[in-house]
Amino acid sequence: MISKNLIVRTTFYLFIATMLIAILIPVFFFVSTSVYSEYEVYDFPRKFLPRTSFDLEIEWENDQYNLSVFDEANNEYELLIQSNDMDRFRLYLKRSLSIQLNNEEIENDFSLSKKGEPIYLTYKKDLFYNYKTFFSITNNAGKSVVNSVMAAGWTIIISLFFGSLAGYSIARYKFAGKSQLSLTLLVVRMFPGVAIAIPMLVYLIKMNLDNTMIGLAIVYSVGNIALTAWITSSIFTGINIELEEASYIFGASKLQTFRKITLPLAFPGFIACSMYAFLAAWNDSITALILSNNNPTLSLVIYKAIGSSSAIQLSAAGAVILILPALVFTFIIKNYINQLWGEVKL
Amino acid sequence: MEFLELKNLTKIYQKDILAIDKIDLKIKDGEFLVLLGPSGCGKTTTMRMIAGLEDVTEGEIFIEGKLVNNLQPRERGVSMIFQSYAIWPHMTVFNNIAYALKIKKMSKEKINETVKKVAKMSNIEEYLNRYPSQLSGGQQQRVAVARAMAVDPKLFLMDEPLSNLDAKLRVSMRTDLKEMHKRSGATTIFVTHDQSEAMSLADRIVIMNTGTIEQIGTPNEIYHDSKTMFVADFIGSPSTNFVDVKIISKDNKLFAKNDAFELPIDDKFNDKLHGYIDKDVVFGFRPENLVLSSDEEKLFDIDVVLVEPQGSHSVIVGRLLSKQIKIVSDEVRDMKNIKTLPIKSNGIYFIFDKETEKRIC
Ligand SMILES: Nc1ncnc2c1ncn2[C@@H]1O[C@H](COP(=O)(O)OP(=O)(O)O)[C@@H](O)[C@H]1O
Ligand SMILES: [Mg+2]
Repeated sequence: MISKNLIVRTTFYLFIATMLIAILIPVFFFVSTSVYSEYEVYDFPRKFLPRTSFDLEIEWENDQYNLSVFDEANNEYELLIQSNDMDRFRLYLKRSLSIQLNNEEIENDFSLSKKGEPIYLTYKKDLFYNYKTFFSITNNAGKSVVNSVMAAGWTIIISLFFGSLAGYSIARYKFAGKSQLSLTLLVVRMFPGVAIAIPMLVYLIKMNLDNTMIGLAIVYSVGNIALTAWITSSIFTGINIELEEASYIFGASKLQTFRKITLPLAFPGFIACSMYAFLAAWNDSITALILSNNNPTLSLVIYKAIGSSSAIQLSAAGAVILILPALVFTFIIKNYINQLWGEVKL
Repeated sequence: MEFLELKNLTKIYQKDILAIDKIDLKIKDGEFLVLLGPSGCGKTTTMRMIAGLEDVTEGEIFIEGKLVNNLQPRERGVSMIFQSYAIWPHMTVFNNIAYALKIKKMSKEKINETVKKVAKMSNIEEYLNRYPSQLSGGQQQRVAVARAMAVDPKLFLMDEPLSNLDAKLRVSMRTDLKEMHKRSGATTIFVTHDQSEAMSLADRIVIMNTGTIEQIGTPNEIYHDSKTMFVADFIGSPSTNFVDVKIISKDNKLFAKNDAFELPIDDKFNDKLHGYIDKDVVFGFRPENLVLSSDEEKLFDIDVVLVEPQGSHSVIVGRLLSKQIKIVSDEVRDMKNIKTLPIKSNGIYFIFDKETEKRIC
């Protein structure tokens, strides 16, 4: 008995551990990359943890400063540049090592080495350098965040409204063509978003909705309405109709019953649907590229930034920026998701 | 005065499924009426039409003399306990019970008072703040009862409320429900397929079969004066033994005869059996009306198949003319090695028409 228990528990924790590792390693990889300086990205072997500061050596030689950085892998100082131009040092420290200093600070520190002895300095790295750079080199990054939130919000509203109506009627009413409707919904899901994006663009232009978030949300909703209808119809089917009937018996009208019984019971399902809708809208860049290139969403901005720059640390920062709101959203609805997985029996 | 009246009530599902076929029923004020019948005979459908959850295809329903066919459930003043309990999982026990009262816009204090009162009657006072998923089946059942009582209804509808409980709880809840009925005096319609439940609870029992009413009567009438073969078969455990016989007449005396026996029939039945001479009929013997006898007095022998000891009595399962016969005997002796037993009738039996399956006498 005990040994069986032990095996079950061990298997369980091994499984959980594997899952965690499979999820956490990639996350750790790009979160740490996002705080690397350019110098560290080309470090080999790669450090497990990003550096928070650099140990520098400055030598005065031939009327020039020699700037070296301590290379932990080889346990020696590696020469980076030789110059006496403070602007060059400032830019180099900033771009390669993510160290933000002004010319005077650099000159003050460096000039101590003119006495003949090399001097050793430790400078703090600016951990958020890549994030700041990301926002400064991509124009209207701030606007794009607002856009993404709008597009996701509209997608949630549109797909929940139409999807749950369809889901409710599929679950509760008998009508001609019901099975055909369910099948059609599935077929709609089969089209890749990009495929419908181009014909939709024509409609959106005619309706003056191109390059707007509502227009984008309408296209995202096409697939999501179908998904929402599928999920909610099974949720509504799962709600014992006697729960609604009991409400009628005990004095409630149809509307009161829907508000006080059906809706709260279906709520966890709605949350799951809005999560799918959110993620579909938030993560898409291709459809946005076609429909809203002049008014981009965050994920489109990041997509372009990654595509056009070779700086992997910047791309990583962009990825983290894209993930954070999704994480926040998920944590907010976490409680309801827990409910969905069986804490409340319907 | 009739509290509830069903006139010519008919229900057809999906154009061709005849679930209820023209039933008529009158229920007196304060009566505890049990609808009894096998699964699928239309008990739930009848109840749902009375509650207003199902449209009436044809016929009329009157509550206190008022036609209610077109009234919404909430306008009918009925209260219901569902087979699945149908208590709302997202509300606490308190809110479940208070639901109807809140909709009626009752004052907070009055709601509190009412909920406390019915919770006490149903023995669930300690659980008012719990959610249904934190309660056992029996406790959930009590919540359903308390919720139904809280609205102080004129008519209680209960659809197999005890069928999801284990045997012991079922019997004790049965007593509780009966007590509750005595106290509230509300007219009650109770649906069940369990005949012992029906017998112990009912003022009157309505036996239903495939959408029609077979017989209406008190538990004793139903048992001792079954009007059809169906009722004789359905009521009683073990159920009635049916034996095919032919009525013959010898010297103005009637006999029931088949390959195994020839039973003289009491002269008082002569009139009723007049048209059946030389015809096949069905005899129905309740298990306790076939008794062990001596070899001299016996009517026939049965081949004993097995004996089921029940403590106070035994059920003897035997065969007569290759049909199964069950008799109840309070002789509790060891019958392991007995192959055949002599049996006689104690003079009490039903005689049924073979075609119509209706009782002749
Ligand atoms: N919603 C429905 N649609 C079609 N047929 C139904 C429906 N509900 C019940 N029936 C049929 O009506 C008959 C009576 O059912 P029901 O009233 O539930 O029986 P009971 O409660 O006595 O077991 C059954 O034959 C059943 O199949
Ligand atoms: Mg039923």
